[in-house]
Amino acid sequence: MDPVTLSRIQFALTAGYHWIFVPASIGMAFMVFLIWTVAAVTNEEQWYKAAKFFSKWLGVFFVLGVPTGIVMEFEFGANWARYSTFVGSIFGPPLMLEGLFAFALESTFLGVLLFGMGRLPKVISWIAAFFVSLGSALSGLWILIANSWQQTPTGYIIKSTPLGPRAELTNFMKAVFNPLLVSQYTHTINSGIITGAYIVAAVGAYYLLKKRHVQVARSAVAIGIVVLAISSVIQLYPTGHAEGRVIAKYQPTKLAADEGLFKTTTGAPMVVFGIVDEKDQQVKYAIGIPKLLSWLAFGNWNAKVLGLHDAAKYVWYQEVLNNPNYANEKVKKQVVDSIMEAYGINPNDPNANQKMVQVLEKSVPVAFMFYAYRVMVGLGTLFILIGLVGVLLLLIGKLYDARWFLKVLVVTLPLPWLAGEAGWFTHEVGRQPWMVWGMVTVNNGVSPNISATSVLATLIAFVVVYTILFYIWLHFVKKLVREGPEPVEGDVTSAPAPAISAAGGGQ
Amino acid sequence: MDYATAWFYFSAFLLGMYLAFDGFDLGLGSLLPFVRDQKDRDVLVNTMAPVWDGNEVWFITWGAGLFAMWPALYAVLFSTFYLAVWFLAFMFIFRAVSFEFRNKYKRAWDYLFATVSGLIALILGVIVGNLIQGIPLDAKGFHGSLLTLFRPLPLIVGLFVLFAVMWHGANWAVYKTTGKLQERMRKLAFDFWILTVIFLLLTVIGMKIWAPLRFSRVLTPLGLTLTLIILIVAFVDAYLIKKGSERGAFYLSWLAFPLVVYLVYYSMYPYWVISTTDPNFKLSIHALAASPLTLQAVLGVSVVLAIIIMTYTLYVYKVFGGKVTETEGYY
Ligand code: HDD
Ligand code: HEM
Ligand code: HEM
Repeated sequence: MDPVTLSRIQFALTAGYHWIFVPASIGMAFMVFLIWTVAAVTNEEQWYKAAKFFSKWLGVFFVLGVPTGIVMEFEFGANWARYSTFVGSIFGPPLMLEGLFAFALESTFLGVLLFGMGRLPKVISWIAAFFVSLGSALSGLWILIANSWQQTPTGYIIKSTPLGPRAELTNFMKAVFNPLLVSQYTHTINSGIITGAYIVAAVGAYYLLKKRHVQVARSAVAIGIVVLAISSVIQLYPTGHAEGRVIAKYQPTKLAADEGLFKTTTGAPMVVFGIVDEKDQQVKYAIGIPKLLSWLAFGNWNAKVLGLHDAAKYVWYQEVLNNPNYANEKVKKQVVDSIMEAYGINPNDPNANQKMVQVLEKSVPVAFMFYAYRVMVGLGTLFILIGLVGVLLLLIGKLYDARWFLKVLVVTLPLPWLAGEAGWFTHEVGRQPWMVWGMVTVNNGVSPNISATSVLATLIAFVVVYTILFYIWLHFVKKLVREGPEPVEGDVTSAPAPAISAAGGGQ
Repeated sequence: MDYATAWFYFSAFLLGMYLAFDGFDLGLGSLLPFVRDQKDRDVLVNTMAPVWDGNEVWFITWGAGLFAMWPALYAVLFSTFYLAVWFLAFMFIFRAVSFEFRNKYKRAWDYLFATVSGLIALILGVIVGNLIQGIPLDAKGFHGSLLTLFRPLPLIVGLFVLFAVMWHGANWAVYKTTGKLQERMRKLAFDFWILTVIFLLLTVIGMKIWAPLRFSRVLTPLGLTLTLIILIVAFVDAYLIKKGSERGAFYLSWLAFPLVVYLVYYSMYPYWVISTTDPNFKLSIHALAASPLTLQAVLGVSVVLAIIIMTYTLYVYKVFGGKVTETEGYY
């Protein structure tokens, strides 16, 4: 395999692994802050115990969330050097501000929260929880500014410099508030909140099933279910819907792949499920709702939705060849030629443009996208259902005794991660072959001087180390569940006596 | 002062803060094998547990600052030293987990922790040492191998950083502990102080031999003044260690890091990279810089944020001030 493919696999692996811990950190930070707030308002013992208990969970997610994030930052320079040089002027600042704005806040106050509980006044813990939550939401903001910019770039100009052509900022605010940012940010952070709420609810449900820590567990299930119900609705509307509309407008090839739409259609249906046949260019056995896609994407039942081939054509002619953000025609020719040459196409070939359209068309794996997208949306629908049933049970006072429902919560706990990973894969694979939409392809972004052997070596090292660490990590999660929260008066804990002074604090 | 220069010295500030704050974690980590008693080790680890994660952020910000302001430099260095970079990344991973996972198989984790802490300090020094000496890179590309990284001068700088953080770490431990452990740490602080000073001198000699251009900047009035201040700080610190001070020695070794980093940056100005194969090939901080608007847009914000971070960091150190005697972590 070549360095490009290997680097892509490595990036996908390390990002996907980072994402195991990220949504849990973001969501748990939010839940912990919420629970500390409820504790302060009600001043009830079980809420304080729940707050302390779930604060410890934060540490468990941070422990691997932090170092796997550092890995990603290194990756840009090590594996994607040409991409970094090309867009670093724009892409770098958000990454840097993330450190100053967010990571510092997050990490510093996590220390205060974890080591201050039981030693410092409760209000300090509450404030620390607030800052950890704020910090993690802000860090998501900066990294997603960078990520959304590379999907829908604005506020830049491409100039030729002694270091080669590169993108430079013309308008900081326009680059930050690029078309995708708001919907992607809210959708992604909210996916973290879904995950956090799910964990809290499922851990509570587990204790209720085991009849341990009953009071803390009830609080956990109740707050988890309420947040889950609200956030999973928000995930569909407005955030998911809004993101889909931006994709429809700016990345038609991705939309076509998401929907398995090979031929341009007016009044396109929304396919709920079917089997993609890439060879025959169609979706077989499709079950769908007529005209819904046109309406969802463009607000008009009869709008025209581009099929894959026409979309690729549109992207190449409109978004690449007609991109107005070049300083002059010379740089533009230089960049466009380098894109073609990266795919072995001679820019002087009279058929060069058609060949590029074909490259764009072939770069998006339709079947993969179609199914991944359906996994995410399907699970999203399931979460709405679970959330609403849970709230209903809560309202009629049966939630804590509905053992079947509690079991469902525990068993389905991995699903929010599955949905999130499916979302990222749709998002990132769907922009292929672009690293930066319309400017840098993966072939042109990779480091020129790395060998396939060294990338393979680090890839293997990642697989081995990450697997071992995950195994050890699971062990720690289990231990945390086994120890459980501090006892509330009148509760059965039946856990083995906690190994350490339950105050949880202490340095 | 132009923006690239301002960023250059702000980058020095970030690296200086990283070494001053995380330096004692790295140093104390490397000192663990010098402490036999498991209880004592637990105390030492617990002195840094609440703050190490926050300290590490300075490193991330320094790295991201290089990326943002000199993307081409970041790209060239990281892809050229591909394997070394990933080695460093794995060290950071192991450090985080050996901090948090150590309550089972403690001894094994502690040795891992000590090894990676030492290696991180060493490698950072080696990287800076390479920037000081220059690398075999020119218009035709890179002409070295992984071994290029480990020429004598970079190795000397690497050991200098390693010993310096161990000195600093021991000072921190003196500040945070009591009794026998404190005494032991005081001794170690002095031993590593000696090694630090020796390797500081070796570095200076090495610069004269292998990096004459950088060395000539040390001999300017400003360079000499900085050197003098560093020496004064170092010797007063030795005096304080001997006198049995509780915190003064730590404050001074804390201060030593930004000073040394400033001197190093000053000696490099204005060239990030000097080629060792082609005397005319130099990459200046201006030639490699990001676009003017980028340099301009975030400088003010970054400085203000750095001040805010310093403020709440000080607050947190105050909250966790005082001696540590407990041996239990929070899990
Ligand atoms: C929307 C959220 C999000 C996304 C898409 C990413 N991260 Fe992340 N990252 C976080 C949200 C986050 C976090 C919630 O802030 C983490 C996870 C767990 C944690 O401790 O902080 C974190 C940790 C984290 C750290 C360690 C920070 C520290 O010391 O506290 C670094 C350097 C990065 N990330 C860098 C990246 C890079 C370069 C990414 C892009 C490819 C990336 N992250 C994707
Ligand atoms: C943590 C959540 C993320 C996940 C799970 C994720 C997932 C992926 C996947 C699956 C790929 C491989 C795509 C392919 O090769 O077909 C990829 C590539 C990539 N992603 Fe992401 N991504 C995440 C966040 C980000 C962010 C925040 C950025 C930028 C700020 C980013 C930038 C990139 C780049 C530069 C590549 C490599 C080039 C490529 O293969 O297209 N990713 N990511
Ligand atoms: C309920 C229906 C949902 C809809 C309509 C929806 C819609 C979308 C859309 C349109 C995208 C952009 C994909 C692209 O760029 O091609 C996306 C991405 C994503 N989704 Fe969803 N989604 C839903 C549910 C969920 C759920 C339940 C989760 C996780 C708990 C989730 C997590 C993500 C993530 C992490 C991304 C990638 C980042 C981003 O682009 O925002 N989504 N979603």
